[in-house]
Amino acid sequence: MKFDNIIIGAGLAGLTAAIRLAEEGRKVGLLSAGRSAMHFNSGSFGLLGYDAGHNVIDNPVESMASLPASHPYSRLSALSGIAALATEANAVLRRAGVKVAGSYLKNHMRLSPLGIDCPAWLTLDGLLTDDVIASLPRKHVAIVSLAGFLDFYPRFIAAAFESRGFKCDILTVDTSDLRRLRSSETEMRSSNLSRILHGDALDRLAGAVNDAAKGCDAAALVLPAVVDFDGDNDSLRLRQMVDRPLFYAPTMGISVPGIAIHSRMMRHFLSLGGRVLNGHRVIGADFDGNRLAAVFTDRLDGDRLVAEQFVIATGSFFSKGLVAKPDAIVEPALGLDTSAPAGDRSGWFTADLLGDQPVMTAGITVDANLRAMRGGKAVDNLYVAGSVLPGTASVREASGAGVALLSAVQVANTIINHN
Amino acid sequence: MDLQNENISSHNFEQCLKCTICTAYCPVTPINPRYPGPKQAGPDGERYRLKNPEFFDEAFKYCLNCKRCEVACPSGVRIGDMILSARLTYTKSKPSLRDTMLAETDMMGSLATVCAPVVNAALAMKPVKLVMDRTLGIDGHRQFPKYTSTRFVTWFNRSARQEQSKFKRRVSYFHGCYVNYNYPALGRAFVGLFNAAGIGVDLLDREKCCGVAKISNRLIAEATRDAKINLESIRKALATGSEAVVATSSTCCFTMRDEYPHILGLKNDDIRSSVTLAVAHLARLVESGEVKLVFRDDYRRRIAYHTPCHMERMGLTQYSVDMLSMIPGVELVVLDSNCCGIAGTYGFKKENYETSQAIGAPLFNQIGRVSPDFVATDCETCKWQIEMSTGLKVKNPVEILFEALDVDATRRANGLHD
Repeated sequence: MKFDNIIIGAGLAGLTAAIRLAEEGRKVGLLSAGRSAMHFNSGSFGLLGYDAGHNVIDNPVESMASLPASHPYSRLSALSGIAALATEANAVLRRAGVKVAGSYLKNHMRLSPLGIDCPAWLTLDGLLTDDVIASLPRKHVAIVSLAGFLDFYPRFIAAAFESRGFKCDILTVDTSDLRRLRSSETEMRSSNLSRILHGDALDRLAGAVNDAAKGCDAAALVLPAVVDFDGDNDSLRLRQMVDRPLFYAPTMGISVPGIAIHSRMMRHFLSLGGRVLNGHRVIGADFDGNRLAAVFTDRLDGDRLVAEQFVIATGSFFSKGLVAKPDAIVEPALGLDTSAPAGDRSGWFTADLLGDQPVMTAGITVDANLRAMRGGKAVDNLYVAGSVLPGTASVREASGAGVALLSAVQVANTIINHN
Repeated sequence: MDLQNENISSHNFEQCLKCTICTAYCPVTPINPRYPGPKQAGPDGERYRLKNPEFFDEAFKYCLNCKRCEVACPSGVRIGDMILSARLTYTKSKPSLRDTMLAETDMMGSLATVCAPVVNAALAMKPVKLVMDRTLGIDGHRQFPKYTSTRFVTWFNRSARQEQSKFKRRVSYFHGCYVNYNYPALGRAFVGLFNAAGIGVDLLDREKCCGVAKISNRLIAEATRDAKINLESIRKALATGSEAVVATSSTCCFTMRDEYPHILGLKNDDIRSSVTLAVAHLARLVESGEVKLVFRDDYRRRIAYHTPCHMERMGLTQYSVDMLSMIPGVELVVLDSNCCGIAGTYGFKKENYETSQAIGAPLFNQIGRVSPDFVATDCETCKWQIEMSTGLKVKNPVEILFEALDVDATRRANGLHD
């Protein structure tokens, strides 16, 4: 199979690069080895949330100046500048129909599923942020939980409001659709709820919420984010049907706002003529000197997938973009060079479980243009994007989404400008 | 230290990270709450079943075996295989008469084609349907595919076999039960297409049903017996000049490639990569320039392509999409990849009818919105389901390629002269 560009990995970075290239009219093949970490995203993107001392960062771009030269942001800053990349990433999301708000010059606070304030760059419309909370006319909200739903804890969300001096009511609603799903109680998860709560069932939910909130004079209602699996605007429709302001709080576990973002981006890519090969894991490659000529997947009987340029965005250890062997950290798809923390395996970890684990900063070694290194030399036409880049502590920094979006835009632009 | 890799069970449940992405993409879970979902039925339950078979749940029969859980899984866990294997290992009851009848596609086809007009008329009659519905549990809404009076193999032997000796390049065609007993026109289109492209067609020495219906209805001894005959015939064909064994049914192809080793425990590493779909084989030859196809310039159609579940799992969808896109007058819309709900014999069973239609509803709605001239898909049971549920005609990509083909020009382009 022949493409102009092949993107290996269909998470946030892979999809963003794929969309950018398809928007330029290229024939793009997107290889997906199972669904991505976007399915656990709470509907917010972090750019840089915390500094090395775990202090909340106010202005992410300003704080990037003190990152080491090996950090992806330092490389991106030198290549195109953070402001330009962040602006363009935001525009890609907007064209894909992902409506987010926020500024790269000032973090806002989003509410986590446990009711903790977390710094974020962009947050999906309708989700709870400190700006939303500050805009409420009265300090009184009602948290609406769904009967039998396992992954939402109203008390945690209520505590976040109470710490801001709010009065909080906790209401529970039930509908015939929820009762039916509850006959399999282990399956009361957000993704299952989102797949039944649309069409008429969404109307019934809105009716039940309106009934439950009668006689309560809360300024706004807060519901777990369990609608809009397909990114079809169910979340907006529910807000319109409920007769007072409604906002969503993210849930534990698999997360519907992240799935909605994924669904919209995927649909946008397909509408641009993009091709997705689902369930294909890259298991080998054909190199021609310093060029990557073709890749092979586990599904195509040795058929060559050929492209002019490739992007590898396979993610970190969770998605097997990196694999830790007893004595080495390897990149399993193409056998690229990886960076591991110095020293033997004992240097990969620190005793403090929740502290910075050096192993998490490992990634595919890259040159200044984010081209992958193989046997000590840069591969001419293979670019690296997302969390498989080395040098980030993405969880601790709250930078994973930002690195994915900005590096994807960067490598796509490099490829576009190359021709 | 490869202890980790060497101590993995046959369906690798140890590699499950409990992320639940499989359940998010299961077509059954939200529709039928009695089904515990792939994570619970698969890797979660497998740990317990290994300790005590009492943890097996009869509700696993609601699994469609669509394998969409496996495509979604980021960890490569063979969830669908695990659930199907558990059904085969732990179900206590014997397969019912109805399930056996639905599964014995070869035997039923052989009997029915002998007096096809009578059988077709009878199967379409309301009283017969009512009796089948009430006594056997075969849902009365279902339309049985019509049986043919002239089987594909009979036609091939009479009218096509002789001229195949003219071709140097040869493939062997696994026609399957549907082409042989119900829809020989697809087989004839396949032979016409490949012959025009300069490729001869042989049949296998002995072809039995691929076994998909027997496997899902738990007739494992019978499925294994047939599979061994097919494997032997495939090996012989590849050893005697066939460059590939190709099928026009995605499910037949999938069963021989993946269910034989994973479910029946029959090794096929030596031949697996040579068993493929006809469109995939053709697409590779077109891309390498070994084959040229010339299409009629008066063929204008708006077509919606539906991805069958087993096509998705095989990862071959792109070949069908690419080949259909090659036809200059075709406007192709690729539908969202959703299960149509029939899952072979599953949707024929009375207890599954409503689930089956509810699963397919998003697909049928999308087809309604797209409003194509007809639908394209590589699976015959998807075809029946979509035809029944949308009223639109459904065609196999091979049929479409052949009806759009300029046969004479294609023959000339591939160096064939009369």
